[in-house]
Amino acid sequence: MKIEKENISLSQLLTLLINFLLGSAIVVGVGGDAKNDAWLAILLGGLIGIGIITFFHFFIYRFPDKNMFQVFEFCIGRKITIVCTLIYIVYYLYISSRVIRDFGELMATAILPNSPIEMMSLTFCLLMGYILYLGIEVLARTSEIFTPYLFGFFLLLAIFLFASGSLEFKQLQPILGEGVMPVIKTAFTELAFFPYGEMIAFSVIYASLTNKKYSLRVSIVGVGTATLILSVSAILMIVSLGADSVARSNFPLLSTARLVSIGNFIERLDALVVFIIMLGVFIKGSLFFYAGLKGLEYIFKLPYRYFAIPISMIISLFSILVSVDFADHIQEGIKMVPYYLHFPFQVVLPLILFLLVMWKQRKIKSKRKGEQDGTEQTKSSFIKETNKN
Amino acid sequence: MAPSRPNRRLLKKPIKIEDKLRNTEKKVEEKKESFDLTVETLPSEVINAFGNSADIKMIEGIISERNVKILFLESMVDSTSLKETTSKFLSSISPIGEYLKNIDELSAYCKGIFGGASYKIVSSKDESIHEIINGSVVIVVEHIDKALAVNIMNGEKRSVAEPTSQTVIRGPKDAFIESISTNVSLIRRRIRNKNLRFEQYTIGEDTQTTVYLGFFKGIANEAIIQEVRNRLKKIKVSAIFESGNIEELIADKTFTLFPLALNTERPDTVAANLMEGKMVILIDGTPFALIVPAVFVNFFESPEDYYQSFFLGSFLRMIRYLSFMIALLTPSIYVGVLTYHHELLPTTLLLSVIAQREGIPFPAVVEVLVMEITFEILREAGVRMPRVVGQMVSIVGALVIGQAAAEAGIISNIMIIIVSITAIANFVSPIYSFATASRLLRFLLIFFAAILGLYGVLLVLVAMVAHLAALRSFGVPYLAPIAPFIIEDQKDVFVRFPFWNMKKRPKYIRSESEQKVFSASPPSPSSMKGGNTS
Amino acid sequence: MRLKSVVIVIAIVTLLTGCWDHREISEITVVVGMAVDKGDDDKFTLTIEGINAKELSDKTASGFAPSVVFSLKGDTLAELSQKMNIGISKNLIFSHMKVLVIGESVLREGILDFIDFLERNREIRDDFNIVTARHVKAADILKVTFLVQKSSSLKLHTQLNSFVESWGGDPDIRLNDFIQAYTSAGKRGVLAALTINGDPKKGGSVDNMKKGAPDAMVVVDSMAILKKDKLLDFLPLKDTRNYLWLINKLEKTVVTVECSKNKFLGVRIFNTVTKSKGSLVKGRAIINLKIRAEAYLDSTQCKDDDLTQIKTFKKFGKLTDKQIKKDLETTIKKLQQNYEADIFGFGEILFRQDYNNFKRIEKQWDEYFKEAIVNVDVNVKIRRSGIRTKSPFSEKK
Repeated sequence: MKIEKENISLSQLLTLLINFLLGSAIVVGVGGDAKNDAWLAILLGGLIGIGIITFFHFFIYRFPDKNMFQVFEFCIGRKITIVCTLIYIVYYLYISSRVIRDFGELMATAILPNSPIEMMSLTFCLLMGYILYLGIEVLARTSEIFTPYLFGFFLLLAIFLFASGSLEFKQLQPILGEGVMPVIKTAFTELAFFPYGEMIAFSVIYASLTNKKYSLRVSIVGVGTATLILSVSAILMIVSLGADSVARSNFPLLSTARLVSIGNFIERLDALVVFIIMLGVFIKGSLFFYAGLKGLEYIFKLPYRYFAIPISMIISLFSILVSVDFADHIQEGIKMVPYYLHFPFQVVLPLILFLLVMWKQRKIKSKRKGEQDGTEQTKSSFIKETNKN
Repeated sequence: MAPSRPNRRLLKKPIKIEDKLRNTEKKVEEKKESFDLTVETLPSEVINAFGNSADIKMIEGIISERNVKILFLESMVDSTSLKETTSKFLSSISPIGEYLKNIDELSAYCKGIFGGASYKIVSSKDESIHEIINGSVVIVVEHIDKALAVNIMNGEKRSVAEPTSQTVIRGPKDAFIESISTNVSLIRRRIRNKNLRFEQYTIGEDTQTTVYLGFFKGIANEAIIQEVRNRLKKIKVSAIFESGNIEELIADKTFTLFPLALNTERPDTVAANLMEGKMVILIDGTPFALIVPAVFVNFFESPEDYYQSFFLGSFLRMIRYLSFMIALLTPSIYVGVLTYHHELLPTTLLLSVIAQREGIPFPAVVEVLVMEITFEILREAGVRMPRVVGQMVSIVGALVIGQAAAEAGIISNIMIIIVSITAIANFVSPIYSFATASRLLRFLLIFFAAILGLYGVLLVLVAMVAHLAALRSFGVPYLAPIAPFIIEDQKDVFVRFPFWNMKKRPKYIRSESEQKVFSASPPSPSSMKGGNTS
Repeated sequence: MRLKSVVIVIAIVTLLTGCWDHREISEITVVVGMAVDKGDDDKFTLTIEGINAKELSDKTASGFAPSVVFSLKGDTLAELSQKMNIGISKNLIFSHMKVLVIGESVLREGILDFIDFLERNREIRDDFNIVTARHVKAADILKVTFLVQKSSSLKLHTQLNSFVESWGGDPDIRLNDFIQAYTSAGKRGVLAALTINGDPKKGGSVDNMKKGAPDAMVVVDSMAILKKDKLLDFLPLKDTRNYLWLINKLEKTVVTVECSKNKFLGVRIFNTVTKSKGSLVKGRAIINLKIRAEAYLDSTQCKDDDLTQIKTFKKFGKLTDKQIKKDLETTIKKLQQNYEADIFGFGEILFRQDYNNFKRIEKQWDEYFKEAIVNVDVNVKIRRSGIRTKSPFSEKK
């Protein structure tokens, strides 16, 4: 079976990045530990995020049209790569299930309380499976279409909140009341992994980019925009609900939207928020899912579409099995996942690999230096191919 | 006697002009060694081939002691010109024997009689059958091994009239008719350029329908033209009657509710699209032409957008998008909100809806389905009924069913509002075939709204967009200037920019030459500046 | 293809068993009001007002009661709210609740732990007024019908909102405000207090809403002040307005200013802003309030002053400043000395502006509040004086 090449444009990358970062982060709210400085923490986190994406970018662009797993192969050979890939697949699919679970919890709590969460998760995963069956291109285009609506609704929400007089900007004070430490701590221990570190999933996407020249710039813009939106939403939550209420809310943005009430007619905007949230979650879940599928594609050398529907069912199942109840789910997310999963998979392994790649490339370079500049040539041929696409 | 002489003189000129033609004919002659064309065998063979069909006719006669037989399909030829010409042909007792030595002289002679009609020399049975089918009379003369086919196909066609399904307030009022040659001329008259090309195809193994592929050379993308050609050539079916048949056979994907080719009966639409770099497929026997490649946004464009002020054009276009959403979503949102999300309605509205629905025996879903299906029945009845009765159906439908049902307390008033707005919004679509998408998807949406509320609606919507994003029309992504997003093309999507500003052809069509407007400055009244002094 | 059919089968099977949250609109009763009283043996008595929607629409109304009021006793509202079908026919939805009336008895004992239920519940929102009933049972408040909106809760919701807009007589407390006041160290809660004018028994009948001068009417009586969750006392309506003024929530009001002996000005205030600054200096809280407002002159009984003159405008402005300052200071004094309850959120001002110092005294804020120095600076600008210049009673010159 020939594995086909798919194309993603820069604007699609941008929307994917933004939706991905907003994803579940906007559902559960991030930076809550920094209380009413959450928005500052998010801004700082955004800077870290830009660093992270630059690093991934730099790393993956040593081989412009290889995805993460193929880079692994270059460093450590196919056999060990298969093992690594398997572990990564599990990681990606697990995170995907967690994302779906976040959304399922939101739905079951706020929108359809009597419907079984299995139902939400199943329908949602079927949809994801269908779209990835159609291809990552289709996912990218779908995200491109919905992103303007996302922005539009978000803006509307902000305007409505402002117009209904629920915003009290003095609630932002005291700024840095406890000093900068909580902000820094939140940014580095929480935000660096979730949501920014999760961008490792994009390491399988970059290979499909058509225009690689501006990809770094676009990625940075994407991370920046998402950070701004997250930060603004954090501000909105704090100034409307108060930091204390935000801390007590399971889904702060939803609680915020419930405050909107203009002239007894524009009110009850839950649906709007669920729409914002659903899209982000959808893109995020799908991207992790896609990353997992790409791993499978690498191992079995079959087009990933074959796996889309079956694996979507597995994700659906695991989104139910990952935790018994909401408290379990959240605690797992705060206490276990960052340290036992995010840290090794987002930081340790990529770093080791990066060093390996550097070392190996240098070795090849010096080896061939005498005869001819081989690596350079392959590199330039890569670039040529890229331009063709 | 008298008229035939001047004719003979006149005939000489055409012969000279035909020199080249003769040469080519000779080449053909050399290739074909044996001829089965004789005045004795051909007529009977042809008649046999037609199975002695009732409308195959033969006229026999003798000119200058030679047998002459004229074969034709009575149903395909123009009877008055037939009578006139055959009688002329057969009654001419001129020194014909001298002339009719070979086919060229025969044809030259015939030209004098039939005037400007197109004629063709045929040299085999199959060829003559083909010509007869296409409305020619085939003349065989003793001692000549070829026959002459003169096309006097009957001109029975409707005159060019106003479009019936794609009307405009301002703009040309002519529409295609069933005759392909008239249709081509309607287009050609709008684009007087040698680069406008038409290629002929005969599709339908049994119906032998003429199909034209038209494009503007130098603007239309060569690769896409080639793709269309290939797909047209690939068609192997027995019968083609309408552009809808072709549309299904050449579409990239048929398992979709969305049309992948634009159909239109307006020559101005075709001309405008040709100039943007698209192709047109004309089919003989139908007033509907196909325009390919077609993308989603094309179905929201009406020619009128370009004939009226761009403010109005843009406004109307947005209205069309809005009504598409309304037609698609209103009933399902009604169901979703009323059965799942009461909290989304403002209190006063909720209370008045409750008051209205008090005592209505059906659940909201059933109510919606009953009304929607009733409406679809009415609509279908309105189209199929004889014109006179058709009026009554709409009156009966609107008044009796709507009002009576509401008064009897079976259906709530708000439901009638919803169904009507949905129906009316559905008719806004400038291309009728596109409305089917929202018409049918609506039911799927209602189904999911009934099961999962607005979440279900959202799921279907996302799936729908994904499906749209996966579609392609002749290789062009169906959602093209929106996803993939092409910023240059946004000037003619949701709004229409003024003409002087739309300098380039849409990028997604991958036109060979992009420039559309040559002088790129807005009109300005600079020359009027000094006007006050007078 | 086989895969597709499998998916379709799964989808159909799972989907068709569904409709879990399906609630047909003809099977629900909208709850617009809730009242919580103390139960006799149990903790609470929950009273709800369910709308009879048919009566609210002119087309379908036939003169029956616009709503049904029903009470149940129990220990948690969560259970009671779902148990109402003991007496009521349809399912209840709480998402359109307009008013929550808390009985005086409940407030006095401070058993407000049912608030948690309201905050946690997904249906109940933050757009209803929270009030308390003075002298009467909370349940009775919901029973009184009224000419215009018919249902008591709908009427109260509109009434309270109008009152905030026109004069500032309702502290406009929503769930979120209530909870913020409860959780904050530097702020105490308040509630509007309602009572019934007339006979509560007669108020419940349909006849009551047929009369131009009803037998019973729900009126805004005063403002309840709370310490944590316990009722301290009721303050007169004038203090409500002053309260709103001090926390910068006043929209419009009219102040009566004495311009000479037993002669008054009516000054209509609009566009008013209160800026607050606070700090702790030498163990004493200092709060500076700056009030800036614009005003119309609505009426004058001082016929000698010529309203075509700049100086008259200035003079009246000064008088108004003084009057308002006096009023506000009285209210602040009252709360400092009589109640030691910081309903104005001065503590919060300090929390925001002098975080580190405030952290230290957070626990003893009530005592610091009593000693706090509050400087009120009022500046009202009278902009115009209606469509006449001089008073008709002014002496002709």
